[in-house]
Amino acid sequence: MNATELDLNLDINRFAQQVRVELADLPGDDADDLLDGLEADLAEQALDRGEDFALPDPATYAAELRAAAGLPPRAAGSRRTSARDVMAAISVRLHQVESRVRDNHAAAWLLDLCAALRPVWWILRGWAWFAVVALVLGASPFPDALSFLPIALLAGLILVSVQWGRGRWLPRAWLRVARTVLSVLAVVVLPFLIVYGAQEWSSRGAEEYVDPSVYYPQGMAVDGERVRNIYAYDAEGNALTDVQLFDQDGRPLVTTGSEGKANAWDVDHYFYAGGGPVPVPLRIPSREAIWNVYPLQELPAGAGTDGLDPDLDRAQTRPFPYAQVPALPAADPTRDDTDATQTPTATPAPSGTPSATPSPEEAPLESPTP
Amino acid sequence: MDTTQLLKGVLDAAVLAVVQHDDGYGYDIVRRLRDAGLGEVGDASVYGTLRRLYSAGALSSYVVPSDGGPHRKYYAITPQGSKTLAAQCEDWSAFASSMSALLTTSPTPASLRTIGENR
Repeated sequence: MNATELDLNLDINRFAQQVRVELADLPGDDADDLLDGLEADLAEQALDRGEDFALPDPATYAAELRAAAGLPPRAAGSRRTSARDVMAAISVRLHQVESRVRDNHAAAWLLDLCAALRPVWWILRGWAWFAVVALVLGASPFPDALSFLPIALLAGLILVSVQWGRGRWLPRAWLRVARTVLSVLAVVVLPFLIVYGAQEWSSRGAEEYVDPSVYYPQGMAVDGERVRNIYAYDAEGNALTDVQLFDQDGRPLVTTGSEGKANAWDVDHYFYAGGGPVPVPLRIPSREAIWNVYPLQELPAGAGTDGLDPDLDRAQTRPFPYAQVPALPAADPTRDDTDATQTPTATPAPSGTPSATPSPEEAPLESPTP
Repeated sequence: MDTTQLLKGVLDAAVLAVVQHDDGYGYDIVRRLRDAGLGEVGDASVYGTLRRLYSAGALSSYVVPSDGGPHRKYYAITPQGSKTLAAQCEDWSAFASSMSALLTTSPTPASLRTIGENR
């Protein structure tokens, strides 16, 4: 159904309501018999005639129906008022207001714009219904994209709303009443939902932009990537264990940063719940956890690293990235290795992807001297 | 001549005639009448007539569900309707032949006087 047909169907619907108002004084059966199928007949006629089709004047049409059916002309004051008549009368009144407003050019432009945005309202209405259901059930009005049930419910409600908007799926009169009631509900609920949504949004924004600590790794990082562990080798290229590191100010050099100490971490929570190895500090009775003795022991995958209780007893020193790295040229007998203040002339910092046996290109030094 | 005025008197017969062999729903009947040459028949008049003939027992109706679209209310002629139609047929034939005779035999003035003829 295209937009023109849709407009036409709405026009026909409105026309039928106007005729119903004109026939409102008749007993229900008479009016129903006359109006039964009127919309379908008009729609078919519109299809037949195409561009030529124009809806007649409802009052004249109703008078013609009465006359042909042998019913009395409209009697003033003998109106039987039913909810449906009231609805129809309201609809007619709105239509009259609309045609008056349409005399104003800007207002007509605005009305057309609103008419074009009607599908947006249908979708919003579906979402509002979903939100009401979700809030009643204690769920979020913003469905999680991964949870099937809420998404299915939301999609279903939006579908119903759109179909109702197009005048479909309304086989019973009470469904039209339900549509009106639920639309009013949606109109009432939507402002609150939008405010609620805006608050949710801004609080999410606050987490993202005001407090970056949640999203940017604290602790020791290289190019933004958290360092999990540190492996040290001596001048001869042998792996070292239990190396204590300090920074230029004499503070313990820890991968966990201040966060680990502040929160008294028993494991490195940055890596916790990731499923992989999780560093743990050195434990000495009656002392705080020691994070600056490297390499740190790590919990292997499965030892509570999935976010359950960490099994600290299973912490172990994992294999070094290299069993051996090339020795330093300075490691010759003339050099005083005991002088702690001496600065090494080269920095043995293996880079690149760790492998068990570094190739010469990966080796930190140009000329290894085994 | 305004044929809508003429139609009023014979619409009952016309409607009964188009449904006598084949049941039809509202607009379907309007279309049959128009196809038959009664182009000026108003659809509201037809729907009203259908309603009146139904109340009078000349037509029966039944609803046919349709997939997708709305249900259709079909009208069928009843035995009583057939009798009415037959009677109206006779009336019309008599009326039409009288009228035809009247119109074809009525003398036309031999000559029309024109303005200023007597001058």
